[in-house]
Amino acid sequence: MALPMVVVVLVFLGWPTIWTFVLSFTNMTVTGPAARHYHFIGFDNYRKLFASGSGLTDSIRRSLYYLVVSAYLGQAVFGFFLAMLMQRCSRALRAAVGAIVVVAWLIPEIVIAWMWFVLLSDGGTAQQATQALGLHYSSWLVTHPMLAVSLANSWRGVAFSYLLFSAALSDVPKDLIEAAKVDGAGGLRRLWRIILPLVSTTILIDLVLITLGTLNDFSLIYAMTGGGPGDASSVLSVFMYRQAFVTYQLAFGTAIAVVMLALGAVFAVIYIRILRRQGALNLAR
Amino acid sequence: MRRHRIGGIVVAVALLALTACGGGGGTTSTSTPSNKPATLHVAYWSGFNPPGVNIMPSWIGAAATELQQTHPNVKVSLDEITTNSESEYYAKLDLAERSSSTAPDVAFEDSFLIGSDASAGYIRPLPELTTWSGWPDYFPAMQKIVTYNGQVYGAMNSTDVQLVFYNKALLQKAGIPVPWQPHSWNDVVHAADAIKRADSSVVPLWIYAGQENGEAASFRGFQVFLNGTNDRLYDEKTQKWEVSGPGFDATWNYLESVRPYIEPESQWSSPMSDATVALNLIPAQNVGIVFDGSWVATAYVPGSLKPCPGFFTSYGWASLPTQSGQGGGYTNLSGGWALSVPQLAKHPDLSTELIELASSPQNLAPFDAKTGNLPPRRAVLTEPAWIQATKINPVFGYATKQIPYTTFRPLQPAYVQVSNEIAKLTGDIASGNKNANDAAREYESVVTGIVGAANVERMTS
Repeated sequence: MALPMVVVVLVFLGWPTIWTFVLSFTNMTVTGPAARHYHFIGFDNYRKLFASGSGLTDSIRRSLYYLVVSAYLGQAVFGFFLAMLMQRCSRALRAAVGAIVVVAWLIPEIVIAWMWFVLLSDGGTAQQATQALGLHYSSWLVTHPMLAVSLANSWRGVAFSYLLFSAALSDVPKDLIEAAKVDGAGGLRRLWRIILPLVSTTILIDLVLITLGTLNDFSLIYAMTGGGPGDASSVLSVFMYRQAFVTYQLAFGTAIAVVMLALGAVFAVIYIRILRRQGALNLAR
Repeated sequence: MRRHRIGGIVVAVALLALTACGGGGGTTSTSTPSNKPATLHVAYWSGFNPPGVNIMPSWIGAAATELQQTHPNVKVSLDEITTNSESEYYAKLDLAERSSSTAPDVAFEDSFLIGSDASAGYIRPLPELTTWSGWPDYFPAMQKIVTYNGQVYGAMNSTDVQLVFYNKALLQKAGIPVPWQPHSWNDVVHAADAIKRADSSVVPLWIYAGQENGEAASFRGFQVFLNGTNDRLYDEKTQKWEVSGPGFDATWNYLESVRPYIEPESQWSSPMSDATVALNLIPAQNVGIVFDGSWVATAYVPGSLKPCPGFFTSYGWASLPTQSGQGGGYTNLSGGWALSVPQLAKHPDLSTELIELASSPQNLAPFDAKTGNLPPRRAVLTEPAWIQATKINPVFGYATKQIPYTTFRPLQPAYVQVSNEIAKLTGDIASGNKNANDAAREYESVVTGIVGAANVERMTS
């Protein structure tokens, strides 16, 4: 029974990964003499990539910024507090807020990118609004491109964390909270000692999913800023795309893809270890 | 060259009626009647079309109708490749050309990538084009631009030249008499400075910069200046890349010196910067001097996306000056598009025949006029459709006169990467992240890395 699944996984997931890995050791380009007659060049692409000035460290730094600001803060932390807040609200308000948040999640990514583009760009809504108030605004897409794309990604993704946390929080036994209250535990203490430990598995699973989604995100950033101005919002995925399909250094691009894979794997391993320690993950040992 | 949606905009509603006029064949060299059924797939870029108009069906359609007179069972299918940017079009076209199951029969190729695609083995040499009756009619530069390693790889269907557009009122306000023709780079800076002092609310000088605009920044934001010095990107005689020299230094320094006058970063760094200048700044008379392609004026003729008939009286156009008036005083650079036949095309003979038919003066005249391009061959200039277009858009006439003197980009495969580095550096200079000296050193080291130390030379005088 498992055989068809194994074949599907190998063909559609395994092979492209292996092929990407193989290509990263060649000099293949999209056009030019090495396009079809490429050959193995050993670790040259990696040597070039890890040499100073290649743009790799800056791209990793931007990817981590994007992860921390838009995924950890904007989605997980904000989503958690939104869910906490909604626990205390009436059912109707919860439904209304939930609906609005989920709509943001349902809108196609490219539409979200354009919405935020027209909001923040030169001559856009933000500029017109601030001008009406007599304030000066110069496009954040130019002055703070990483913050701009992080805001958009938070807005888009917060619904996922919010829904996950809402479900987990509603499973926290009410009497436990009441008992803590009676024993004199304050709000912060209840959060730290009771709620967080009870939903910690959910938090970790949320972090695993949003981390990988955010590290690999490309289209939102590319549509909003194109990675610019200059390289200012060129995260790893944009760096890879530009090398592979704008300057046509396909093999060099695959080397960046391998680095992305490695970075994602590091995060995945960390999360899996924590989850295992919690006994929440029952992987074959 | 990077052509944009606005790059080719409709000439006139009046011309629409002429679109279908194909004229008879008679220009083909291989017209053996055949009844073998075949379908020719013609791949082209969506972005080449003027907004809201799909020019390809009428142009290729007219040629297809002519082809079917001798090959009744041949069908022509238009395969539009839809992408936002030209580099993405290229990635898709090249990937399609790698496999015989996806390779088109005729490909719409940007001339600057012909060398690269030929060296990749994507497109095939077409020696039969050189014996075709239409071939001698092409401008010599238009024959050379499709020639790589002595072989011809396509037929040009459109070209362009670069011009200096200027706002007459703003120049006059700044105390500069019009008509204006700068005779050196300094003349341009002086004029920009005078405009800035006369009216601080406008953009004094528009020069493309930054890698968001890729080829536009490299071509019209650097190479048109370097070409006005004694240095070149590529030395055809020694077959080496020039990586430094007085001309390079002068160009980098010049770009640094115009920083106070060019458009703000929010404009040059936007991927839509070409639309910003052509559809907003110029019609609103908010820019003094613009370095751009000859097709820009096509945006303003009646019936186009942004009709602005006042453009032709409120703006003037001038030739690109050389650094200090050397070499005849002016310089120019052209790009343009060709039709080529992929190596893996299934019916190469029919493909070539279709290209020859599509390249007839009767078929090229409405195509070039509507897309705002210049004809690559002389006979188009006397076609009624073209003559009528020049009456509506006088820039056509001025620009066409420059074609015999124009030059083009290096056809070497490394050009794409070199050009990308140039675009990046123009952005670094425009943003102030690098000064001219840093840019010059980086260019030298990066290009040496791209092409190899054995293939570069440093100019000293």
